[in-house]
Amino acid sequence: MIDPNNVPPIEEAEWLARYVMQSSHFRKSDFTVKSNLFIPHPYQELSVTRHRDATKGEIWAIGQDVASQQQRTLYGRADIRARDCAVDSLRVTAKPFPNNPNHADVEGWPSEKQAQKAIALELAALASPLKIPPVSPAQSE
Amino acid sequence: MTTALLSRGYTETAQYLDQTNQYMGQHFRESVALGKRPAFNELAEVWEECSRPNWDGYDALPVQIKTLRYAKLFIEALPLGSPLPSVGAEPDGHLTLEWYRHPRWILSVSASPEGVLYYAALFGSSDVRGSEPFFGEVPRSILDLIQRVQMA
Repeated sequence: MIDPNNVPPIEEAEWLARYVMQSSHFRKSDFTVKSNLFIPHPYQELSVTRHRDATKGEIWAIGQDVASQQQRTLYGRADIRARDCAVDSLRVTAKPFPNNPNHADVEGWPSEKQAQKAIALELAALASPLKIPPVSPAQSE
Repeated sequence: MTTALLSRGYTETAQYLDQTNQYMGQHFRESVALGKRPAFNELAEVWEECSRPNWDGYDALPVQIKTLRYAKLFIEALPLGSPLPSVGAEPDGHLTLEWYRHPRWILSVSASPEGVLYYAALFGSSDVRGSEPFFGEVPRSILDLIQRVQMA
């Protein structure tokens, strides 16, 4: 994981993970993710986790932690490059949490719903298909 | 399809025609509803999952019953033979109806609790976006986009 005392700024080539905890946020037909996953409400930021300096197991562990804290099912995650999030006015900013130094926010969303939807469609088109959590931690390495 | 509200008369033939007409009308409405059943079933499933707070693990707002009604009315108002959407929910409590060919050929319509339809579509590298009030009929602009998605 990133050193909490030395959190570097986001680089364009970095991969970011968005965890999927709702079954209607991906298509069962081809496992692509829906734009709904990227709508930022109720905050003005979209929460993501940086892959940087994290093992695959750590990336999954963060998702599992969030899901269990919220009593939700972790269906998987979609990955997207930081540079692909620079749609219109968006930018990615490192926002480390005490328990997740890899946390970041996609900020700069417009307030109009239809503009948010158009951007979310673009992000969903650029994101990876759903990646399924490993059955056991050993499988994630 | 319209249903005759006034009786054609009091003769046996007129009564037979009225009964037949009512039966056919009912049969037609049931057939249409049957054709849209997959979308209604999906709507019910999404409602079941998303009608409580934080349904997405990121503090989403619950979908309200009036939003469910608008989404249902929208599906009912789709013309016969129109492709059915897949249903989803957004964290602001809107229900989404999506027509999808691939990630860059797609239309997403959000039904809000206020009865406003917000939509955005991707067609290759260009996008279309807008909003329309919903008065019980599918707006022409959205019908055109549904057709365009199918023409990929």
